[in-house]
Amino acid sequence: MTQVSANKRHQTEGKACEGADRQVLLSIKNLVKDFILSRQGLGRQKQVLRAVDNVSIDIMSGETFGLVGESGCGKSTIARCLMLLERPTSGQVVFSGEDILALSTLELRRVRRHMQMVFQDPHASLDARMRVHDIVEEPLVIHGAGNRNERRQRVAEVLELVGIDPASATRKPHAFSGGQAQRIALARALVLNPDLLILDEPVSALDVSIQAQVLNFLQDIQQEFLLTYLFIVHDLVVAEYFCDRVAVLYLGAVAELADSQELFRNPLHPYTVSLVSAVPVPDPERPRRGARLVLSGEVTPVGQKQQGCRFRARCPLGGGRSRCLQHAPDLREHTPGHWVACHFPGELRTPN
Amino acid sequence: MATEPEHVLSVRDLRTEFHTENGIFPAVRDVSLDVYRGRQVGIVGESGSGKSALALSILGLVRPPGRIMSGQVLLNGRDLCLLKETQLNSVRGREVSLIFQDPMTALDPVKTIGKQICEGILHHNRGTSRREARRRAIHLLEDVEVPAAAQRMNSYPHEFSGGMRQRVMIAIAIANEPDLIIADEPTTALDVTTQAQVLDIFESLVRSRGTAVILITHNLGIVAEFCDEVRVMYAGRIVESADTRTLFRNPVHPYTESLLRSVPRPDQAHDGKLFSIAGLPPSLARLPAGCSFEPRCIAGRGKPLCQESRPKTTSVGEVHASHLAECHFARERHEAQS
Amino acid sequence: MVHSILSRLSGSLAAIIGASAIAFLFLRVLPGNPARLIVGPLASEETLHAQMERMGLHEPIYVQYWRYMRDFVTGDWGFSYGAGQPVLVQFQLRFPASIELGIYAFIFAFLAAVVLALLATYRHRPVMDATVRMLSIFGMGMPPFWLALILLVVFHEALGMFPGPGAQLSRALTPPPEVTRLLTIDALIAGELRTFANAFQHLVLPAIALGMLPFGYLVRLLRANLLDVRNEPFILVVRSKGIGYWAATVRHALPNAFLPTLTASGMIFAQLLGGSVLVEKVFNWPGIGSLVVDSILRKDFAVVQAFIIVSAVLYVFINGLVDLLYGIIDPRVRG
Repeated sequence: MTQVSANKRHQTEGKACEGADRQVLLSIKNLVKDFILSRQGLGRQKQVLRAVDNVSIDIMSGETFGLVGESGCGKSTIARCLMLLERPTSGQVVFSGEDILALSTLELRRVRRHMQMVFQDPHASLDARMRVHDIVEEPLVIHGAGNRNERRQRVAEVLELVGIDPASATRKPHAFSGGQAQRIALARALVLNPDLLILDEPVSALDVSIQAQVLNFLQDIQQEFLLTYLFIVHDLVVAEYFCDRVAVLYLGAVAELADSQELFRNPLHPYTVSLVSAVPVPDPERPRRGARLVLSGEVTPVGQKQQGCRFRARCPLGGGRSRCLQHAPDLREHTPGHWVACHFPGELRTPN
Repeated sequence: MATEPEHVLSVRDLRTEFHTENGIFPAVRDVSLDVYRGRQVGIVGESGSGKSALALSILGLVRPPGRIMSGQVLLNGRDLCLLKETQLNSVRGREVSLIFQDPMTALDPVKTIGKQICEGILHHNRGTSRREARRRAIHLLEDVEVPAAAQRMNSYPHEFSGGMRQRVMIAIAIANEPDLIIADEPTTALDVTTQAQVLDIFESLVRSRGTAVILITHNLGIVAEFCDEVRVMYAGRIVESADTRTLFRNPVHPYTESLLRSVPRPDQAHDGKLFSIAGLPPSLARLPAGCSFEPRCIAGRGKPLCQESRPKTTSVGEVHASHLAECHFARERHEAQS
Repeated sequence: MVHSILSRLSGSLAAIIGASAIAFLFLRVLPGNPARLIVGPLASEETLHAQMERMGLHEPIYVQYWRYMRDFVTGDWGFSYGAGQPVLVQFQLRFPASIELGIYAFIFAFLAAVVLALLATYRHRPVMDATVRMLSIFGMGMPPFWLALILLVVFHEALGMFPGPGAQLSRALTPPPEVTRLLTIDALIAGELRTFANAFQHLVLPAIALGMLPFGYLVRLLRANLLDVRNEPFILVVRSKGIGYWAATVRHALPNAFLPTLTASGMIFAQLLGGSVLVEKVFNWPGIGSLVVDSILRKDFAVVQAFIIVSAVLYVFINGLVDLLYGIIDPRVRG
């Protein structure tokens, strides 16, 4: 099975635990999630959609790990499985050495406070009828942390940290702009001092200038509180800028995984190559046309397990070769730290 | 003067306000905008900058409580603001049409794709038979590269993917070969590879037909690849306008510069911090007395001139009006760059 | 497809059987002996028991129920001792009047709701909108019999525009030959326009009185839906093709605004067809509603029982019709 090695050469720019060997904080092992599509009628065959297909990823303590891919690639489902918002069909999720899928409800609660999630649309993920103070305090109440006064102090502290005036905490979320609301959502996630933040498209709903503010802020608190990020994002430019390592997902499986610079500068999987070349570059000096490789067709989820490579129908290399038709490629380490699931890695290059 | 290129659209001092219980919001503040035949003009700005209100004002489709207060919208030389509703209905869709942002909600869910394309064709071509309209609609679907076009005519929007729906939107927009298409964030809701497909189709169609396009977007990458010219909007004003290369190379307005710098770039080394613009855009109901960007400006924050008086539009290009910026320091900043 | 139709039908059947069984049970549990009604208060215990024997009232209740349902299906709906007629005959006499009134009341409620909802949402007119909302509250809050009285006082007594209570047709006119038993329809079939106009005139006031409440409800629903739909981008896109306001509203906004009101409309329609006691009383309308209430007071169970089953069938049938309509109007349901 595919197992991603732990020896990652991390960048050294101001990161925590420099020099020390990093430890695996979160280990996803052979994660599978099936959705049952339809089961009307008695004798009818049930249709199963495999949203996550045997994904294994190790996330190191202190790193920012990016999950990128197009809609329907399974990146959000993975996040939801990690937070147990969905029950995985099979596989393991090991957090700080404990398999959280095997824990009892009580033990789970203890682990949960170390994993928090932030969603894409802050106005949708914050209860519009609650005051900001109560929203941020709620996790403390649920986990029975501190008394009233201590909690109030902690809430004020965290709000100040994310740049929201604690005096305005009696207002409700809609009184705040998108960027501010996302900071409130972050405050709620940070209030329990977690180790891991799962960030599901946290800046996608924000304007460019506000996006930069939030990304900078995320970097600051990561250094300050030694946080680990699992960053789910469809914007490749943000992924390259913000993540240490990135996994590209296609139809529920990892297509390629590497250091973000390596992945975007030297993509080996034809899907990654196409993705990278499809991103419009804000530089009119660049040659406009021809430099782009436009992928044909669309992501079409397959119900039954099909033979061969899952990307072959859209593969710019044709995908008609017998190996592509017959065998689904395993995720293999092509060069140290650079994993790719393709029979012909590196054959397709970014046109330039 | 005889060699001056032909205007498709010329907006003059257009002002659109929304009168609500919470005050008056001038979403478009005395904006002027020229679009020449066959040119692609990008309008860039953040949410609430007035770019969508400008688009709807041009079409005369601002909904109450919004209304056009003053100004002209000259389309092919005719002022749309003076036209009656029935006259406007013969202009919309034939001379100017719209592509809307969200393909999920931009098509009527209970009508077939074919009907929705034919509707515009039949409306503007009296005497066209349904058969003929249908034939043309199939052609249009083929133009936007919808596979099995004839069969898909009877499909409903929910049976299409986002990318396919946006192609249908393009087919509707080009159905009557308009001179101008206003595309409001046409690919924002799409994935990158789908976005690339849709943009390629759209670009080749408008270039081959010589259609002028106003492309409203917040994605600077799309502007750089697609547009000939750019207008940058902030708080209801166009604060800078230039051709695309000039604007990206020599942004004169501090807002344009900040915007360009705050986008992470794939081809740049990315150590250290992203540049970010401090603060939030001002509320349109309570605009500052001076320059509306002053409180967030890298060049003018705290300067009395910027706080007290609104800057005038300044021409900084070699050719008159080729590069305009609305900043007190436009000249200085331009000279400092070159 | 066949599967979904089958499951639909079995569900409907279960609903009808359930409703009839519960009604049957309740009516038997209630105090009061139907046999006593027949033999009279002075009859001896022996006579009473003999009558109960004849009516099968000694048998276990499920046997009674089974026998009743079996007879019901074959057209024997029992005998109304209170009226001295078979129940089926009574229904044939009374139901058409209620159905006709219900249909017109529904047409009034629906048309008025559509027109006023369109007016309320046209452009941005706060006064018009407020007026329509007032009318809606008025319609939902006003007791129908009270409205019926006022309509009679104003339009019959004072203005003399419409005929008064007590008849479906002027005495001077002979009813048209019975085909559907609905007077206006039969008149049209017979080609007697004068009779149609006269019958229609008799229907106007009771239909308005009966339709006011559903109108108030529907106009509120439709107005809200229209406002929602009008803000949908696709309306803007339609307008950008050059389609005018009204064409866009009628062709695109209305069908979409109707969708969420369809279920409610179906229920309202079924309810209206079942007759209304108070309006029928005020207008002295020979409908099913007043018959049922009179029968309850007389403990004439056979009538009540039949009414409950017929109502259940009506609801189930109209519900099925609504589902069918959804399938036709909304392609997403067909899926």
